[in-house]
Order: sequence, then structure tokens, then C-alpha cells
Amino acid sequence: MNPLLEQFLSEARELLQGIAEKLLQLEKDPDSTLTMNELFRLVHTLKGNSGLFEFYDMIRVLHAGEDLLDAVRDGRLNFSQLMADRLLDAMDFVVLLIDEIEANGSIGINHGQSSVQFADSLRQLIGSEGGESAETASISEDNSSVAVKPMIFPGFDSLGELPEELLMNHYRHAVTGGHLWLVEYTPEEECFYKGEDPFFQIRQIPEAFWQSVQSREPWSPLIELDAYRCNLAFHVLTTTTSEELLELFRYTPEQIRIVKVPAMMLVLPQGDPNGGPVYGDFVTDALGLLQNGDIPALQAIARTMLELSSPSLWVSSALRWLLLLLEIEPDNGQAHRILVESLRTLTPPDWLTIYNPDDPDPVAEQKETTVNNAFTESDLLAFNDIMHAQREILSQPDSDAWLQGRLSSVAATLAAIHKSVGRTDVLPSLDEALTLALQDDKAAPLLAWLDSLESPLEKVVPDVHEEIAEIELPSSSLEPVGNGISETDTEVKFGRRAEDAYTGPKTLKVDQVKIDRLMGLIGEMVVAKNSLPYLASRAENQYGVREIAREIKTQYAVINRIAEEMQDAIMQVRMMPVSFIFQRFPRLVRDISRKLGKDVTLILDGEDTEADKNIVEALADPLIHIVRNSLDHGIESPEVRKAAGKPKVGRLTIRASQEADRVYIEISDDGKGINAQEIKRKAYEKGVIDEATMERLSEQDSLNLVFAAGFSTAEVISDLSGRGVGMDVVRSAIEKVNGTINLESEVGKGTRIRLSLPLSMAVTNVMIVEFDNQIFGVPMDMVVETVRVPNKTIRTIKKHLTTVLRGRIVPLLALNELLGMDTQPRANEENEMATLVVRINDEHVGIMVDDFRETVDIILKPMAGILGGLGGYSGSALLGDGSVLMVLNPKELI
Amino acid sequence: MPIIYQKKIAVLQDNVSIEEAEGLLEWLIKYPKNRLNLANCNHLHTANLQVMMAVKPAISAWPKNTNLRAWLESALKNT
Amino acid sequence: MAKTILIVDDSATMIMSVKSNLEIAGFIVQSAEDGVKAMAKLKSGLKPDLVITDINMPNMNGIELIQNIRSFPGFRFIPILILTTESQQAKRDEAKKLGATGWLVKPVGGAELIKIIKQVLPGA
Repeated sequence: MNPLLEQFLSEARELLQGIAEKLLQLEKDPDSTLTMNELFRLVHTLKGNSGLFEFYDMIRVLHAGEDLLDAVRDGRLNFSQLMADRLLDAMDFVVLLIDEIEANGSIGINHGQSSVQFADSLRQLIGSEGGESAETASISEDNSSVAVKPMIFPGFDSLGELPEELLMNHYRHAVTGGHLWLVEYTPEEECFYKGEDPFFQIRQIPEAFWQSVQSREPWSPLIELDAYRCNLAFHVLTTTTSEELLELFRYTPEQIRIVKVPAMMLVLPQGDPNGGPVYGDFVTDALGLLQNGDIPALQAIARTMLELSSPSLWVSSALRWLLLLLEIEPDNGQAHRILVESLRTLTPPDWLTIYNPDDPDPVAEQKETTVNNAFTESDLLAFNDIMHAQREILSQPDSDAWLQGRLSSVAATLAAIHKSVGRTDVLPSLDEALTLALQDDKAAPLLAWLDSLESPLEKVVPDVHEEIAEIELPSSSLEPVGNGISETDTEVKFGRRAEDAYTGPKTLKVDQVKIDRLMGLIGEMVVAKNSLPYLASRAENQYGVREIAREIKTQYAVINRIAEEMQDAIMQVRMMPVSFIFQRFPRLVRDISRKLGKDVTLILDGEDTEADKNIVEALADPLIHIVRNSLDHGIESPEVRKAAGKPKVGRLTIRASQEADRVYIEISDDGKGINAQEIKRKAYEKGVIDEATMERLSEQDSLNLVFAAGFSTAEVISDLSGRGVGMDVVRSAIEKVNGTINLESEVGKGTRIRLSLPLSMAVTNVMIVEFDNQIFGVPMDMVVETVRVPNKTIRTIKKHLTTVLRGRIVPLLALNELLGMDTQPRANEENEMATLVVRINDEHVGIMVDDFRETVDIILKPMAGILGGLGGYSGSALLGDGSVLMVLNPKELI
Repeated sequence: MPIIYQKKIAVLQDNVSIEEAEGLLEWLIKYPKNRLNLANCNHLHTANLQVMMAVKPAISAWPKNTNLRAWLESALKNT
Repeated sequence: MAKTILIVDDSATMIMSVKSNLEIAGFIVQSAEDGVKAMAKLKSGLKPDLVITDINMPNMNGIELIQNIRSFPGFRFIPILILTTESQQAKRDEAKKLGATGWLVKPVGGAELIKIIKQVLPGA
């Protein structure tokens, strides 16, 4: 479980406890404002926290509770017994949800209905003044911006100083459907005392290509100037979207005005006003051609004139603009005429004459409707986004268990957004489509309904982009955009979950005890089934009925297969991904490396790899220790790394993988590695090894000394690792779950630790050995080989029995020595000793017994009670014939 | 970054915070001939901007940050 | 230079959530569980570049905290964001009037949080 969720759960329980206490206090003392405020705060906090995880069923109830308490707090309602009852019930429901989250990490999908009921029961008490209606009311209020003519603000003439090419590009962009906004930002005088930096705000406007800043009032004499009273007004032209602008100025919408600027305002010829050919004839000709609509001829004479004029002249610039206009807006005769006229007067084109506000204006009327419906471009986009999302949801395959709920929620969403734009006329057909869809379990009818809509919003809202393209628009085309971003979408989101209730659960919460019981039962089943072969052989040998014996064997094969599959299935239930422990590492590595002043990148791989729950849980602590070691002693500080020619940022990789029936976890870093010589020296100093051992230890064996008890490599005991707990603890933790650990390191290059663990610890494969007429089990994963050692090859070295196997000296121990029994192991007819070679810490040791028997799969039960203290045994198991097998733990024995 | 006041030049670097504005104003009133070095300035708080607009000091080095430079040029040129 | 942010909230969960998002983005985060504790931190010399505060808190609520911070020497101009829920429009307006720079609506997503902070905090 991630730490945030853990924190949430523990805090939620505290809050719920507090809520219950306050409710009980209020019952005794209903007039205590203090208790009431405290209660409100607790519910409010819990609601806020659950919002972090989108626990909708919980939020809904808490939200209702919050609204109810708010009404009491404001004096609109009186606290009552009934209210306390309902709140307590509702909080019990929340506790239930918390329990479920704790168990499963999420809330089951079958609580929707109860959640709605609890929320309703609380809202009923508030009566008509429900909380959510207040939230939706404010949609259309903020549309306060007013359209202005772009010329009336100061500094606009400096726009003409921008490079012609830039202006032309923006003009082209704006005419062909792009945005062109003028942002006017007048921060309030006191704004600095609200932590604002208007200059910083305005500089963040994306795609701004012209800017101007002016003082609003004339500056007061310097000596009286108050630097902390804002006296500025900013203007910016930008081609960004209005959403972007509204978002940027979300906290000060009343201080900005966003005005759509017609592309034509950028048509500003520039250059040297003096000189050039005489233009009188050209103007007359051009006007004539315009009259006849002969654009090609006009383009031809304009090009000729342009060739005759020096490019730096104002007139040349005007001609270039004229050619651009003819090309891009060939139908805009009025604009062409104004530009040609300006060539006659050699004055800037007066675009204002186009914008005559007295003209009757069909588009303006249309816009009236728009404003009344409080529709902005952003609403349109939001609407289309929602529609699009619904279509995507419907396009998913129809097969899963949530289909019904999905269909209903999509329909609810569609209904809500159409209601919000006043299209109630489409609702009946939507209902029909939904009914059909639910009947057939298919999304198709709803999709068809969506297709049948001809973009419903365009009927209400005129397409904004087209307005820009129309140069003949009067001044009202400078359309204001308020911040009326619709809140309907949040509302829709909230209502949706209510209909999820009738979908069946796909995952079950099962107590681990029940799984363990299943596990135990299948263990007995395996044992019981194993008795069948005994029965068969008795039938054959003792009673002489071969027929029956064969039948029993056939039956046994069937039962055996089923039992194995069943066992496998139960194992699967217990499997969990290693991501369960991996997920804490990003945070851990980040925190530790920061503390140590190191730069580390963590790479996680194979998080999906699964293993038995016990194994995964047993891995957590050793892994953390290894990771800490890596960060603490492995990866160097950035300076050291740099000096060593390594990248400044260290790499720590944790990789999980599965091979056959083992899980491998590899933790590698590119740090300084471990110096085997140093390890050896230290081990000697600490008395872990003697001088002779030090001489002969190989590089790898020296490295393995870090796993020896009482060894720690840290020079200084840091506060992170090495609190006297070393790698030996890690090793024994891994070995406890039948894992092995292996360390490789190269000085200067890094260290790699590889853990190998069984996929599951439930079934153990053991070899049965016979000794003194008793049988014992030895875990197969420790057995290297079984050999019969001729007595004559056994030598005594320093009082220890040894023999040479494959050129290697192997110490021999008799089982009776280990178990403290008197009887010596017996040799066979050939005078050979049955010897079981086991691997202990990478050393081979031979254990002499009487004889070997078969290997069996057993369910190992740890020793309990007094026997639990016997270190030499790892547990016991029931055999098929009902006898008990003691399983040895050679590591402890030797 | 705080403003570094040298003999004739004040050096504005990185982000100039609002707390600097009063000091800058006093310094410019006291030494009206002194100049500002903005070469390594990335942003200055609005309060500093308006002090500069009110006083119109000479600039010894314009910001390397082109956006800031465009703003300051238009701010200090117009009346 | 890393910016320091003081987050004030009585919910440890909320602090943990916001804090981890901020730390991932490279901010240094300090926290306090109510207004009184936050003021104590400022008085003991903590100099954050930004304050994020909840509204409903015991001892000293967010609105009172804003007023206290604004009248505390050296903090006249510090950006302050309040943490509110959807339904607290009135609180938002009140806080804004009393000197809040802006608000964050709970639950705050990591990306949204960082985006807003970068918009109010130069150099973040």
C-alpha cells in the first residue's frame, strides 16, 4: 500500500473517531458552537482527504454531511437527535468503506447505491436549500468584459514598428482561422500586498508578439512616489487560445480584458514615407480595376509598381500588403479600397472606417443570444470534449461486466450536458436509445444516437472562427471573452456514479485466514491422495487382487492431476506482484539520496513479477537494507563520481524476473564497488577469519565475507544503514524463505546483488533418507548430489573425516553426530557410505546416512510449541501412509 | 537576487524581488546620473519596473533575456 | 536556487500529498498543522517564498493566518495560495480580499499544483 494511502487511512480513522465523539458531545450540549465548528472541520478535512483518491462513494456522503453541518453552523438548522443518528449511520458507512480500502486498496463498486441513500438521508435534513444548487448558479455572472475598439488604448501605434514579415505572418494566421487577442491587464493598486507580480503574469502569456506597458496615472513627484502602489497597465497581442489566457489570469479575471482583434488591424505599412514614383495614376487605375473586380489585373499593376519602388519605402510596404490581401482575401473589396486610398494620401490605412458601429449587424444580434446563454468559446470546447469522451467510452468493447453501468453513466452525462445548453428536445430520443442499449447489452444504440446529432451546439453558438475571417464585421466583432467557464462538467462527474450500483463485483475481498485454510486442506488432500499407491500395492501384494490394484492406480492418477491443479490454483490466489514492495523505493531512494547529497536515478524493472505473498512480504526488509547499503556505501557523491570520470548521476537498478520456479531479484548499482582485499583485511581485524584463511581466500569468497555475522563494511556507522545490522541479517532473512543471495562486485564499476527465491514456499520438495530405522527429510534445494563413498577413500584430517569428490575436499559428518545419537551410519555390502552432499554457504558438506529413499513433495509445517525451539529441524510433514516426516535443517545442524 | 550597488552602476541580476524596489528608488533619486546594468537580469518585480518607468534611468546594459528586453525597451521609451 | 514553500494544513494526509508533489518538483517544503504553528515558524526565522494554507484549521484558521502574515514584517508581499474545496467560493473571495494571491481547489493534482505555483512564483 502506498504511504499516502496508509497515511490517509490512519488519519481517516482518527477523524472518524473524532467525528463520533463530537456528535455524542453535541447530543449532550447541542448549542456548543465550538464543538459544532470542530465537527464541521473534521468532516470537511476527511472529505478533502478522500478527494485525493477519488473515493466517490465516500466523498458523496461526506459532502452531504459537510453541507448539513454547514447549515447548522450558519444557524439555518438546529441540531437534532435525528440528525445525530443519520450522521452516525453515515459515518459507520464511511468506516466500512475505509475498512474495505484498507483490505483491498480500493472501494468495491457495489456501494454506489448505499452511498446515494446515505447522502440523500443527510440532504433531506437540509431541506430545499441543498448545497449543490448554489454551486451551479454562478456560471453566467462573470461576463463583465466589454468590447472596445482596439485603437483607443495607448501605445498601439508601436505595433507598426514590428517587422513587416512578423505582422504579415500573424495576419495570415488570424485570417485563416487563428486567434488574435488583445489582452489588457489593469492590476489593482493594492495587488502587491496580495503577493501578486503583474509583470510576471503578463510575461507568461504564450505566443505574445507585441507588448506595451504604460502608467495609468501620471507619475507623482519622485520623492512622493510609492513604489508599492501599482500604477501600471499592460497590453499584449497574442495568438494563443483564450482558455490559456483565462487560466493564466484565473485569480484576477476582473482585472483583464481579452478582446478579439480583427486581422486587419495588423495591416500597417511601414518604411520611409518620402520618395518613389508618382502614385496618382496607379491609385485611379487600381480603384477602377477594383470596381470591375479585376483582381488579376490589379495584382499585375501592383507588382509593376513594386518593382519600380525601392523596397524600403513606405509605399512599397503598402503595396506588399495589398498583394497579400489580394491573395488571401480576394473578396474583401472594401479593405483593398482602403489600402489603395492610403497610397494616395500616403497615410496609414484607416481601418476604423470599416468598423461603423451604427451599421445594422446581423452577427451582433446572433451574438446577443450567445451571451444570454453564457456561452463562450471555452464552453464550446468543453462541450465537444465531453461529447468526444462519451463517444470514446462507448467505443470500448461491449464485453465487460461494467457495461450496464457504463451505458447508464454515459447517458446521464449526455443528458446533463444537453440540458446545460438548453437542448432538452433531444432528451426523449436519448432515453429511448439508452433503454435499447441496456436491453441488448450493446453500446451501439447510444452511438447511433450520437451520430444522429448534427453538432447540436453549433445551432446555439455561432462558430467563432468564422467571425474572425469576416472583415466586414463592425466593431462588435471585437468580441469579449469572459471567464464563464462552465462548471457543468464537474457536476456531471458527480452525478455519474449513482447508477453504477447494479453492476456485480469482479473482485472479492477474502480474509487471508480463509486462504490459509484452503491451503491446509489441499495439503491434507495431497497427503490423503498419496495413500492410494500404498493401498494399491497392498491390494496387489497382500490380497493378490491385481485388477483392483490397477483400478486404484488409475483413479489415483486422476485424483493426483486434480489435486495438483487445485494446489496450483490456490497458490495463484496467494501470488502477488513484487510491485507491492517496489513501489516504496522511488520515494525511499529519493529521500535517502537527498539526505546523503547524492544524485541517483532509480530504475525499476519487472514489477509485475509475482511470487507467493509470504515471499514478497519477506523480501521487503532485506531489499530496503540492500538499497540503503547501495546508496550509502555504493554510489559515490557527485564530485567523486565526476572525478572518476563517471556520470554525475548514479544508477540504481532493481530488476525482478521469473525463471522456472524461482524469482530473481537483482539490485545493481554503478557505484564504487567493493574492494575484496579490504574486506579480507577487515574480516581478519575483526577476528571473523584467521590468518591462514585470509591467505587462501579467493576474491569471490572474500566478497562473501560481508555476509558473515558481525561484519560491517562501513568506515563510519551512518545513520542510514549499518546500525550494527549487516548483510548477515539480510542473508538469514532470505535464507529463511529458502532463498539464496549472491554478490558480485568490481571495484570502481559497481556492485550487483542477486536474490533467488522460490515462487512459493508452500510446497517443498524433500529427499527422504533413512537412518537408524527412522526416516528424515532434507530439502532438495540444498542437496547437491547423493554419492556412495567407499570407506577406504575416507581420510581423517585434523580429526575430521573427509573425502575427495571430483577433485574437491569434502568434509564428512555422520548424521548421528549431528543429532546426538549413538548409532553409527551403516555401510552397504560394498563397504560404501551413503552420503548426501549438501551445499551450505557455497561449501559442500557430506552427511553420511544409512540409505537414500525417494523424493516427495510435502507441505512443510513449521514446528510449533516446545518443538519450535529445535533449530535442527525446519518442520514436519505428514506422509501418505500417515506417518510423520521430520525435515532437517542442515544449515542449523552443521 | 539583491541589487548590487556599485559606484555609478546598479547591477540587477536574475530575479529582482519586490523588496528591492524602495531601495532602487532611493538610490536613483540620490544619484540621478547613475545607470543600471541589466545584462544578467531575467525578471524584475512589477514594483521595480514602475520605479524604472517613473525615473527613466540610463541603462548601461540591456538584458540578454530578449523578452525582458523587449518589455523594458517599450516601457522606458514611451512617456 | 530551490524555492521554499510553507504548507499549512491540519490534515497530515493533505500535507503529505502536497509535500510529495512539491518535493518531486524540487521545492523545499516546510509544514505546519495550523496557523499558530505556521506563525511560530515564520517568527523563528523561516523565510519561505510561498505559503499554501488550508482554510479550516483549529487554533488559527487560514483567513486569520493570511492577515497575520501580511502584517508580519518581511512578509507583506509573499504569495499566499489557499487550499479550498469546490464549494467554498465565498471563502475564496474573502481570502482574496484579505491578501491571498490565489487558490487551489482540493484535491490538487500534482501537475496542476506545480503549474499554478510556477505562475505565481517568479524563478520557480
